[in-house]
Amino acid sequence: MNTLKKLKSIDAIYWFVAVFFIAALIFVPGFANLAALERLLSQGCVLIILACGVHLTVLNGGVDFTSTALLALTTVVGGSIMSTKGPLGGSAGALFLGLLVMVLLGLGFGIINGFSITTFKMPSFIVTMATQMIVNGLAVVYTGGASVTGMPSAFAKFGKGSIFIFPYLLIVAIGVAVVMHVITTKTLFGRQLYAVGTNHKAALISGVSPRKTIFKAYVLSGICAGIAGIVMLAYMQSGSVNYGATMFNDIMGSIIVGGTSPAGGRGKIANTVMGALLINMIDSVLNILGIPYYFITLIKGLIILVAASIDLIRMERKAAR
Amino acid sequence: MEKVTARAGKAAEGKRAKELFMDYGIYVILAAMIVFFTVQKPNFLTISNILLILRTSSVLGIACVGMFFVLIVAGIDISVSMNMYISAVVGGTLLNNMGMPLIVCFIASCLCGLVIGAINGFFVTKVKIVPFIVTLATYSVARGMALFLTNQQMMFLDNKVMGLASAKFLGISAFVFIFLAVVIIAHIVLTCTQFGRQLYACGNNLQGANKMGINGPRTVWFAYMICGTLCGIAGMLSACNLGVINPNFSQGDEFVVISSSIIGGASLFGGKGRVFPGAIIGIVMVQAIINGLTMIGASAYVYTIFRGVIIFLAVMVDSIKFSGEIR
Amino acid sequence: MKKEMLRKAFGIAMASVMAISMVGCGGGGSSSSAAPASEPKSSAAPEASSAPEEPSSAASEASSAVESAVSAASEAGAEASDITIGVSWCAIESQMWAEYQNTIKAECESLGVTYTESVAENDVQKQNQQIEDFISQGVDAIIIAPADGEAVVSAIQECNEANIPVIMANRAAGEGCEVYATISSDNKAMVKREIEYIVSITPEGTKYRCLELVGSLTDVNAIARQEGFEETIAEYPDMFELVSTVPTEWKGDQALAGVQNTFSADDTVNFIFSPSDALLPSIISGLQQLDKYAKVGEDGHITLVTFDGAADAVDAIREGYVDVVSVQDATNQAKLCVQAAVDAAAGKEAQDYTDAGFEVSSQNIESEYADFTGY
Repeated sequence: MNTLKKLKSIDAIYWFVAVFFIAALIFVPGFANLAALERLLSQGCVLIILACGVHLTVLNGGVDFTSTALLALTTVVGGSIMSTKGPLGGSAGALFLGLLVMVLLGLGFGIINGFSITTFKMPSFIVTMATQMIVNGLAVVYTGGASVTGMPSAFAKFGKGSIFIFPYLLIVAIGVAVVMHVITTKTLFGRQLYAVGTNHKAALISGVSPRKTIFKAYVLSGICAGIAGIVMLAYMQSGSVNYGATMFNDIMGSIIVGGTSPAGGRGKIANTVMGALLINMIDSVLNILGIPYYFITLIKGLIILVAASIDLIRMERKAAR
Repeated sequence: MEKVTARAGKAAEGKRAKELFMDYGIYVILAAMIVFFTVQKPNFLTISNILLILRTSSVLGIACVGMFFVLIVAGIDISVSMNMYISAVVGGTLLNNMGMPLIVCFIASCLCGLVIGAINGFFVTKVKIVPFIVTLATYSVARGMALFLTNQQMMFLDNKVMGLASAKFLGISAFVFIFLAVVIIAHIVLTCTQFGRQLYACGNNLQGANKMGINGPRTVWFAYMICGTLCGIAGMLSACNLGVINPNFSQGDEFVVISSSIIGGASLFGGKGRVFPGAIIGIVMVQAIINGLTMIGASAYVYTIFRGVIIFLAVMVDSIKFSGEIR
Repeated sequence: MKKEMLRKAFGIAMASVMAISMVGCGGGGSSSSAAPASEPKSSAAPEASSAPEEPSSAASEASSAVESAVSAASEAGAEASDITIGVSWCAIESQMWAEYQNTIKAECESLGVTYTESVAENDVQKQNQQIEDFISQGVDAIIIAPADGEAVVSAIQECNEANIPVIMANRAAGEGCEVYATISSDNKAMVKREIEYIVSITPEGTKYRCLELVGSLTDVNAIARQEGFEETIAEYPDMFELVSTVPTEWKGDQALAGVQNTFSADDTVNFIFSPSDALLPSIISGLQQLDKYAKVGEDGHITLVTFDGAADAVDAIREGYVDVVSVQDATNQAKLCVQAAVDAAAGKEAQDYTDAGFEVSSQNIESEYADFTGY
C-alpha cells in the first residue's frame, strides 16, 4: 500500500517520459543504440538549461523572452573572443575570457530586465520582448549576420566528449538543473519566490520583498541563458545570430508539460527538466521516424494544450478535496 | 511657512509636468522620432512618404485592431502571425486551385481566422487555460497546418492580386482605406455599442462584470473571434501585397503587433485602449522606424535594436505611473 | 463529469499521438519506391537469363560475360534499391529549391533509392538535429542544403565519424569537415557575366543608380553574389553607383519594404539587383505600386537583374520587364547530387561539380533560348 501511494505521488510527467522512452526503444529502429542516445542527450542540453532559467520567471506569473535571443548574442560574442581566428588567437586565456563574457552578458541583460520589471513596473511580457529585439539586433550588428567559427580544439573536445554515454554537455545541464533545484527548494530565496508567485500581497505583508525576489529571478534567468549559450556554442561549434529563433515554444512547452502553472506560484524545476527531456525526445524520435517537421510542430502545439488542460483538471480536483 | 508653500508649489508644478509627460509620453517620443528623421532627410515628412508609411502599416495595423479587442479583455494572442499565415494559405489555395474571385478568397481567409479565434476563445473561456499558453499552442498548431497545406513550399499567388496591391483611390492605396475602415468600425463598436462597453467591463473586472449580468465568457470569446477574423483579413492582404506566401510568412509579426498595440495605448491588464487613434499611432510608430532608418541610409542591422529601444521607452513611460503589482 | 470527459479525451489524445507516430513509422521515411525497385532487378534478370541460353563454345567467354553482367546488374540493383538517402533541406523558399526537391525525389524514385527528407525552415540548430537523426536512422548517404554552411560543420563531423558520406547541395560547407562532394554554382562568375552583359548593351553616358538586395548572410551563395555584384560594378565607376544595399534574409516582405523605402528616399534609382527570383514577385509588386514597372526600352524602365532561372522570371523577360537572369541548372545539379550520393554509398570516387550557368536576357530569349521555360 505504501509503495502504491509512493507511485501515485510521482508526478505524471515522469510516467510520460518513461513510457515514451520505453516505447521509443522498442518501436523506433535505430533508437536503441548508445550513439543515438548520446546524441539525443546532447541535443536536449540547451533546452534544459533555458527552461530552468525561464521557469524561475514563470513562477511569478511572468515570462522571459530574452533568453532565446541571448543564445544568439552570447554565442557570437563569446565565440569571436575565443576563436582561433580572432584577435586573441584561441589561447586558453581567450577561452576563459570568452566563457566569462558570455555569462556576464546573460547577467547584464538579466539585470536590465529585472530592473525594468521591478523598478519601472513594466510588464515582463513586453519588457523581455523589447529586450529580445535589442539583443537580437546587437548580435546582428556585432557580426553583420555572418557566423562565428574557429573554436579552439579544447572547446571542441568539451562539446563532443562524454563519460560513458553521458556527454559533458549533459553534465553541465544536469549541474545547472541541480543548482536551480537546490535554489528553489532549499534556499530562502526559493521559498520567497514561490510565496511571491502565489500571493503578492501576502508575501509583502510577511516581509518578503517582491521586488528583490523577482529581480533575482530575472538575473538568474539571464545567467542561465549565458550558460545555455556556452553549451550551445560547444554543441554547434559555431556562433550564429539565428540561434534560439524558434526555441521559445519548446521552452514554454517544457515548463507547461512539466506541470508548472503559467499563472505562477507552483512548479518544480525537476518537472521542467523532465518536460524538456520529453519535448526533446518527441522531436528526435518523431524525426527518426520520418515524420515531417510540420507535423511535429503541430503535435507539440497539441501537447501544450493537452498538458495545460490536464494541469487545470488536477488543480480543480485538489481544490475540490 | 512661506518657504513650505513655495516648495510645495514648485513640487506640484514639477509633478504636473511629470504627469503631463507620462500621459503624453508616447506622443513626445513619436514627435522626437519624426523630428530626428526629418532633420536628417527632409523627404521623410513628404506626403508621399507619409502615405507609404501608412500603406506599410495597413496590414499589421488591421491585426493590431484585432489585438486591441483581445487586450481590452485582458487577454493576449500570440497566434496572430500564424493565423495570418494559414488564412493566407487557405485564401491562396482557393485563388490558385479553384480560381475563385478575390472576394471569395478574402471571405475564406476571414472564416479561417475566425475558426482559429474561436478555438483560442474556447480554450481561454471554457477550459480556462491562461491565454498566453493557449495562443502559444495555437501558434504551433496553425503553423503546422499551414506548412502541411503548402508542403513547406512557397505558394505563388495568381496575378489577380496585383490589381488589389496597386489599386489606388485619389492617390491613396486601397490598403490604407481598408485599414481606416476597419479602425473606424472597430472604434464605433468599442465606444458606441453595448458590446463594446461589455468588453471594457470584462477587461477591467471580469468577476464584477459577471455579477452585473454580463455574460463574461461569451464576451471574451467574441473578442478572440474578432481578433482572429481581422487576422484572417490581414493575412490575405499581406499575401496580395507580396505576391507569394513563403514558409516564413509573417514570422515574428506577433511581436510587432503586440508591441504596437501596447504603444498605441492598450494594456496587458485589460480595460483600456482606444483603437482610434491608438492602433494607428502604435503601428505607424513602429513601421516609421524602419522607413526612417532606410531613408537615412542607416545600416539595416540596427533596425531591430531601434525598434526594441523605442518599444522599451514607450512602455517605460507608460508604466512608471502604474502602481500596482509587479508582473 | 466534465473532468472525466476531459480525462478520457486526454487519454485518447495521448494514444492517438503514439498511434500516429507508429503509423508515421510505417508511412514515413519511405517515399520508398516498391515498384521502381523491381525495375533494376527485372532488367538484371533478362540479362542473367539470356546467358544460360547460349551453350556456345564461347561458353566460358559468355559465362564470364554473364558473370560480370550479372554482378554488374546485381551490383546496380543492390546499389540502387538498398540505399536510403537522407536529404536535409534548409527551406523550400524559392522556385529553385522546389525544383531541386522535386528532381531529387523523382531521381531517387527512378533509381529505386529510398528517400527521406527533413526541412528545417531556416532553423540552424534544428537542421543539425535533423542531420543527427538521419545518422540514428541509419541512412547510407546524406545530402545537405545548409541554412548556415559554417554551423552545419559540426553535424557533418558527426556524419564523418559515423562514416556516412555527405553531399552538399548548392551551398558549400565550411572548413573542418569532410564532404564527399559539393554540387554548386559559380555564383560570382555568373553575376559578373550578367553585369558585363548590361554594360555591353548600355549606351555610353548612361548612369545606373543601383539598389542591391542581399540574401541571407549565412548563405555562402548570397555572399558570393553580393561580392560578384559589388566587385563588378566597381570596375565601371562611371556607369554604376550603389545607392542602397538592403539585406532581405531571403524574405519577400523585407525585399518589398526595401524597394518601397529606397524609392521613397531616392526617386532616381533605376537599377535593381535581386539575388534570387524568389524575391521577384515582391519586387514587382513594389514597382507596380510605385507605377515604375515599365518594359525594356520604355521610359522609366527600371533595369532588373536577377538570379536563378525560375519560370516566372523567364516569363517576365519574355514579356520585356526583366533584363537578364543568371540561370543555375537546378535540375541537373539535383540529379548530380543523387548520383553522387549513390556513388558515395557504393564507395566510389566522386567529384565536385560547379555549374557554370548561363544568362537569359531580353536580347537572347527570342533567339537562343526560345524554348527555355525555366523551372
